[in-house]
Amino acid sequence: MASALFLFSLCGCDLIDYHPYDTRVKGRTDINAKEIVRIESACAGKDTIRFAFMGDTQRWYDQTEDFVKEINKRSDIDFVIHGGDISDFGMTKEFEWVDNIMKKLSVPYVALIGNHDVIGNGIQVYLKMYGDENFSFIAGRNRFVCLNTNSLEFDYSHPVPDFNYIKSQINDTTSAYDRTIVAMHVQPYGEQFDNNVAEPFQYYLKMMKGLDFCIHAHIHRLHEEDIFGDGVMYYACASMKTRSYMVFTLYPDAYAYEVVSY
Amino acid sequence: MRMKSYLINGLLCLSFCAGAMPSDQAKPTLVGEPAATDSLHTRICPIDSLPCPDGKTSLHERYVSNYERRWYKLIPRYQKVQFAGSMGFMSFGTGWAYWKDRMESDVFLGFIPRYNDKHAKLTFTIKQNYIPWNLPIGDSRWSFDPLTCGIYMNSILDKRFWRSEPDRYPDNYYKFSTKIRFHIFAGQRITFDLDGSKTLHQSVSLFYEISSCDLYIISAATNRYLKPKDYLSLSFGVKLNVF
Repeated sequence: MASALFLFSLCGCDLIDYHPYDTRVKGRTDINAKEIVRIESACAGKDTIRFAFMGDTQRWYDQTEDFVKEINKRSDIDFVIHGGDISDFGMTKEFEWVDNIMKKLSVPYVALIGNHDVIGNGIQVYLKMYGDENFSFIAGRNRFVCLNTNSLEFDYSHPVPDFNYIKSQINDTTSAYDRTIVAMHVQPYGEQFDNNVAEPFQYYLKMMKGLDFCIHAHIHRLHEEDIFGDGVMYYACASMKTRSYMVFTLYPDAYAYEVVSY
Repeated sequence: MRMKSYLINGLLCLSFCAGAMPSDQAKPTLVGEPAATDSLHTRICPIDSLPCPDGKTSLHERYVSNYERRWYKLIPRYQKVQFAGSMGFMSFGTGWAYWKDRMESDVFLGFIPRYNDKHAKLTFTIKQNYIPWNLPIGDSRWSFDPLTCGIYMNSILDKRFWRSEPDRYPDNYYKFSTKIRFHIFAGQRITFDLDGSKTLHQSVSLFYEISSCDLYIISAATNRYLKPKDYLSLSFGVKLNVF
């Protein structure tokens, strides 16, 4: 009994867990919106933007922790994009474990929603902690459109991909940007994607101002492909398990990318 | 089956004809009928003490006695209320003690408040406890269980959670169940004997447990990053012993 009181005083409420799927978020909320403010102000007026792209942290906490240390050793990265599958089982604590690691980044980061983040009631945790499942931001003269493409996790009552959102991005003429980059967790023709609308999806994406390329996670391995044969490249980063990430450098008229292993 | 019932009827008839029916004073008390000594045990198992003229109870009486004793065992012996423990915010349960009270089997209904979800959720838990030792504390009415341990299975009662993957997924897509969790626990317990004549319950126990569930254990086993505070769960509870 005394040891129980000792434990309780030592760890306090940390040890009180109501349920793995209780959605009781104790840490940060609305992360993407807060980080986007940092990204947009830090990148405003910059010609060249360099960002790191990683994803599928899932159950690889040690590797993710090392990734953060690697990025913090560099001074040339403007921000990090997490391509989704923050959690492995959609449990509330998993999201907090990953943010507790990722918030130690010296640069801002945003996270997309992956299929593993939807299962159970994981999506409710994502919505609370990170915000809307579709979001966009501006970095320098570049617009990033981040989309929920995990169609298999939803029924028809929940539009994935959300064409109304995509259209709102096409029609946005108020922001000043020259290039659009689309990020998603699952690529067209992936088993999660609503492949009945793969071509219309691409059709709409190409209507975005200056669509340059797309990035995605989900397949856990490095990959590049001109999926629709129309010159729009889709780049995939490997999972955190492989201890690697991608770095994209956006010049005014061109872009370059490299893969970094650590 | 039919033969057996004929046989039993025949034997009962024989014992009746032989005048083996109990006398008026020893008429069996019916279950539920208020008796002079109104304790639960005497009401339900009166037949043990029934004398027969030849000093033996009749076959029927022994049959009824065993029958009642068997059902009697199914009456839950205690109530439990448990806070936290990864099985709900609060769980309310009941259960059975057996094997010299070293084993306890509980069933719980719990609830998880809404928090950031669309609605609150109910949980159902079945729990198996092993209590190897019960140590009296001096001559006091207190006693101490230095170890309680066991396993429990928790199910979240919500249609978004599945026991096995819905058909829309390719085979072996997620390879786990979002609905069913398996937990292991260890804890301690202290019991105070109440004065049964003035209280509803015979005794009351307070306990605490440290537990973890399958998915937490898998996560912890593959990462140095996760510390005990991440994957262990502390819970508290009260057990009210009816008899």
